[in-house]
Amino acid sequence: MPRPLSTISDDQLAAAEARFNSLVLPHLDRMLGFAKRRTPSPSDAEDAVQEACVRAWTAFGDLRDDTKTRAWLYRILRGVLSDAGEKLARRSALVSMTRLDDVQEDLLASHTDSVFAEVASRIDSEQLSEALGLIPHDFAVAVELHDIDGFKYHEIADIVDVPLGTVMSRIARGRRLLAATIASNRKLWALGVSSSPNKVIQFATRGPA
Amino acid sequence: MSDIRLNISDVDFAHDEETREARHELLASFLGAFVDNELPPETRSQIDAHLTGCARCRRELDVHRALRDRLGNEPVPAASTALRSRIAMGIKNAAPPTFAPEPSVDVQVTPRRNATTRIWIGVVTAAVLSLGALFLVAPWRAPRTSVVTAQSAPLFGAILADYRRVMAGNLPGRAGDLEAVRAAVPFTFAPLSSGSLRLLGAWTASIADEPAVVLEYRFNDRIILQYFVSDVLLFQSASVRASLIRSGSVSVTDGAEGMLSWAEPEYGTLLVGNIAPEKFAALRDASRKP
Repeated sequence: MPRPLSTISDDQLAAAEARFNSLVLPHLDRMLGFAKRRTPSPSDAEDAVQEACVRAWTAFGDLRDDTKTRAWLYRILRGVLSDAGEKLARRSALVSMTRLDDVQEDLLASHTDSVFAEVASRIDSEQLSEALGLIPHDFAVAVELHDIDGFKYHEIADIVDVPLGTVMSRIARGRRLLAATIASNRKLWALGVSSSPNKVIQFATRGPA
Repeated sequence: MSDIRLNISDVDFAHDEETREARHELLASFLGAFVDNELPPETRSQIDAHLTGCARCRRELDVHRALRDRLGNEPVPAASTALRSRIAMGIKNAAPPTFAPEPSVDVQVTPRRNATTRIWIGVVTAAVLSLGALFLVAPWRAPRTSVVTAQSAPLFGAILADYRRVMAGNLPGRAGDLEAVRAAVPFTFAPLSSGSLRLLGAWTASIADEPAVVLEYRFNDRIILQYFVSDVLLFQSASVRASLIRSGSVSVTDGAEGMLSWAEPEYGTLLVGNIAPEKFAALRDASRKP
């Protein structure tokens, strides 16, 4: 039977709070970045991070290994975002994966090796966020957790609760789809036009992942 | 490294077009993990061999690298003071966490042992207790890990911000500028000289309103930056001083970025990049070897 912390002294409670702050607060910025990419507005992202921190505090006794704090926090944050309906908020329309596969094939069939690297290096954060929003949710999450947030594959498997092989395939497929999305939209971006599927490009529409 | 292994024995001796394509698809599915260094050596070797003869996979590898590098440079938003206050307030108002009780010790009655066994147990117990006491009082016992964060050590926050700003754009310097850069700062410094590092650029910067030098190295397929700052700046933070005294260096990890800092006789220096601090330590140690 768990022993409530409230039955121990104020000093012990203060020590737990200090330990919580030292372990959790350094990750707030990245958690906010992750939440911002999955919510319609910055205030929604802040609400999600706040809720995740409160849930983390309440469940702090479950954290057995301090070195796994960050993955543990992201797992909680994903739960909060899922409860808030992140998929519906951000991914009401997805581009056709078949269409993207075709674009990807064209990309790889070309013999200009350096072109895509140059395109990728030049797109701005807003365009990148748009492109991530156009690929299926699970693939985007795996790619972001690895490439932006710096998690290893085994940590991502733990956060999203899927086998390691699934993480590997989601990252590989996610990057392919992302590359194709960027390649498809770069001319529009160059003209300063948003690539939002609701505004400009109407590929086939899918429901939430 | 992850336990992801490739088994291509079934298709190794493929001759028909369809099976060759299946083999290619199988190998292509590992390219992301290959770029991310998540494969065991034997699988990497198989893919290396395939890449030699497959231009399509080499192009796909470039796509993976380009995206990973671009996403890795995505700026991280800063949580506002207001958000931090809201979180602190939310925690104050939330139910306190619960912790599992310490495991209880079961006392079991065991049969009496003979005299010889009791003596041996006494000797071993005394030795263990003596060793334990030695560890408790010995000055060289393992130090407690000190926590250095971008918040507790502003220098690290400032350098991390500068690193991210620089990496988000075109890199500013050339290695040929090194001598001009040397003349611009009030301390002498020496670049790292490891065989796995290649100096690509040098420039000056302002960190915490003081002149600093930045060297850019290529390390495999990544770029790492080395900052040189005055020792006054390095020793400013209490948490940094504590870590330097305890372990001779300071390691900080923030998401994908790792940092390692240490003090040289005339200056402080800090390596930063999408690399674990332990790898930086290995590069530093390799550079110190004659």
